[in-house]
Amino acid sequence: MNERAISTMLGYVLTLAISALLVAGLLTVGGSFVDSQQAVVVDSGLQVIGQRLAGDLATADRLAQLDRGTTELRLTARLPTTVSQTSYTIDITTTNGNTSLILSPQSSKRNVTVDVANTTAISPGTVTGGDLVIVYNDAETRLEVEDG
Amino acid sequence: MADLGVDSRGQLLLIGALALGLTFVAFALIINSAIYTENLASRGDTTDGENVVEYRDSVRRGMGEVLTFENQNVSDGEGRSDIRDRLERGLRDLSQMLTRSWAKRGATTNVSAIGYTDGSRIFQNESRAFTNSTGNETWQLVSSVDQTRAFRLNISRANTSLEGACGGLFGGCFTIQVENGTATWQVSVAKNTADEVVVAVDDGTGAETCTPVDRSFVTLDLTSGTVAVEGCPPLSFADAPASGYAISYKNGNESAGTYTLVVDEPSVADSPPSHYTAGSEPSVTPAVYSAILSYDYQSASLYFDSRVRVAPGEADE
Repeated sequence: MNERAISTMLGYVLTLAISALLVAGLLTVGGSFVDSQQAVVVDSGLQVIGQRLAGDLATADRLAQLDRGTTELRLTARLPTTVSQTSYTIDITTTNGNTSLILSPQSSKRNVTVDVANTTAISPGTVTGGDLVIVYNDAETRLEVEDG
Repeated sequence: MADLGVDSRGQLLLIGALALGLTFVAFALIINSAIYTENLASRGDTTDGENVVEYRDSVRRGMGEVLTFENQNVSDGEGRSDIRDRLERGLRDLSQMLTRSWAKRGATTNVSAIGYTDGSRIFQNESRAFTNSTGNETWQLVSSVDQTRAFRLNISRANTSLEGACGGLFGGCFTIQVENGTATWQVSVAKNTADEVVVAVDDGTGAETCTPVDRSFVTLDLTSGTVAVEGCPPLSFADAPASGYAISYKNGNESAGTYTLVVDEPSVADSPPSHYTAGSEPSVTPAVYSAILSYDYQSASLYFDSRVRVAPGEADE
């Protein structure tokens, strides 16, 4: 027996402590990695949705300008309701005649901004993510976005 | 020496593996989202914007053909209401045809007319000199015109005088003059020594010529600005006076051919000057200058209702 000054208890405690530390560290890193990937996916998802809505607004704008005789236009923009299990809202704002869309996810404070190139004015407002309807208001010659 | 004696080991490893498994499941959901986003990004235009533009184009061109055909086939003694009846029938046929073909593509469509602008069509179908029916070589075709469309001449080279022989372009050679008292726009035609037809344009700032054409018959389209189907940049009807102008031919005996034009002035057809009724060529008939149509398009994702004006052969088409 060549075991002297060995405490079995200490041996086990050390093994357990080190294993526990390793596993806890792994889980912490894994957890934060999942969070950061989630944020990246939400960002790119909102970016894609913003571009699609901007494209649909551009189509509606082109149709409204077609003959200057447009009396009615209703365009349905089909967008997903959630991005990576988080819902989002879309803010339409106009500054100095430039319209932009600000998409904000429910889960975090990181917003995504997409600019819209348009000739017809677009009414500012806020809508929730999901199917939207773009309507042309003949009387005021502006486009309005409503929840579909 | 401790002796556990029971086979329970690696609890922490088990818990760690369990937690790692849950992490992988969370990753799977995130990756699913990312893949869906990529798919969403690669989709094309799911709305029907292009289809509407295509439909509008079909309506415009179809109705343009109907207008051109009905204007060219006015029988003697036909009144304006007869022409409108035929146009309405043609438009109904066009609407039904388009409705059927668009129904196959998942959209309902409809087109109807909401207004017509009356006008007159002046034409010479038989190839003869550009004089009026009493033989005058300098004469006025029509006055108080605001808009002209489809103004085409088919000029016979054999019967066009040489530039030197008729006294120079804009001098004694055949000239088409559009003037309203304040501005004048002229187009002159002659033949050069190389046996080519030369067309020159003077918008008041000086004469510019188009490329000479070596053909026995040269089509001169004033409203679309082409000579024998080739574009001629100086030949732009937009340079002509904008409203209240008169169209005249000067020295019409220096050239020959056929021509046709449609103007938005109905009185010259309703009460033609005596030189139109003196002989059979040239003649004037009532015509419809333009039509305003209301069309709508409805599909799963789009409802669109608008108007379009049809005036085939107009200068800014």
